[in-house]
Amino acid sequence: MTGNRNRLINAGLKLYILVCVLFIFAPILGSFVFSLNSDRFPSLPLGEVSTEWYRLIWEDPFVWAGFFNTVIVGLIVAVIATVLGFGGAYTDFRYNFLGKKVYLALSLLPPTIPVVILGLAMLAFLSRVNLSDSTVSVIIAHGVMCSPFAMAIIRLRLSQMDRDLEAASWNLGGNEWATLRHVIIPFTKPAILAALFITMAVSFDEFAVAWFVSGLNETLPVKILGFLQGQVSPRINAIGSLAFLSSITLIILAQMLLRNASKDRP
Amino acid sequence: MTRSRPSLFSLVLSLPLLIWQLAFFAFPLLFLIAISFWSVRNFQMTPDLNFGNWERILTRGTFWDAYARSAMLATASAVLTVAFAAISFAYKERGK
Repeated sequence: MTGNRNRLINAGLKLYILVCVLFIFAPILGSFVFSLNSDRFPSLPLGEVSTEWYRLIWEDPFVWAGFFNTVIVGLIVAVIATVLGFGGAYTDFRYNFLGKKVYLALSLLPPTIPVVILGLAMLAFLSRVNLSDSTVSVIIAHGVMCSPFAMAIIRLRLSQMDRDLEAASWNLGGNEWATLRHVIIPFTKPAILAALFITMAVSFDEFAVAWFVSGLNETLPVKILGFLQGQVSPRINAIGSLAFLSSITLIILAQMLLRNASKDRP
Repeated sequence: MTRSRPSLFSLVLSLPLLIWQLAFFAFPLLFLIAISFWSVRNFQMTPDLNFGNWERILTRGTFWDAYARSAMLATASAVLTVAFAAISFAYKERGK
């Protein structure tokens, strides 16, 4: 630090960060404020504080159906993506083989493909094999999109592992399976849990592909679009606030797990 | 690098992801490219080697307009986000 000379610049940069954060969160905050506002249309000045819109969505069976679908899909996708991602991450950590680059590219590419193209491709393919219009198709598609996230998280944790630990376990008579169970999985457990939360959050929020392939078994984000097309109702703000709250909770949980994990690194 | 027969263990760990991404990611995308050459007969998509779809898209002004707009937005957001990140990072690293 060079002391007082930079005080103005420091303050300016701090302000700048604040503006960035505000810029990102203002729409969400706005939606939250208007979800608690009694007025029919989002306008200033605000009306009274009311939980009317939350009550309405609480009583709406469509919202519940969408929420239920989202949770089911999210839970199953989280497990599938984490298992697949763990396998991929461990393969990368442990093995060298011909075509490893192709393997890694194939495993990590999905997030870079435009979701509309991915959704279209999924729909074209899944409808050919008669898997479209069902929850299964959403699970398949989200499995593709989420496993790279799980793989990246677990790979990061594995890279912090001392390679001698594995060798020590083999030395002590453990075969590969025992080593996996007693050494690798315990070590990567925080990352595995974090991957479960993150992939669930990704599946929760994913709209475009779910819109293409979900058919009648719409997930919550797809339902929200339906609401928007029907009428502009402050209920959307209420649903949005709840959806944001659940996603951010999952993300924060994952972050806490990863943070604690890297603290007690050997 | 030693080359030996892959163990059951290594296959169980590596193959599920590979199979999943091949079947549900790579194949659908390739399939999408394949059906871009198909044609519509009697309101049904029929396998074909037809460049009509490509010709129609590539010669249409609206496609290129949209493409140019996408490219412009992508460039602008890339420049802006990198600039944001650079300034934030400079702030974080200041005085180190």
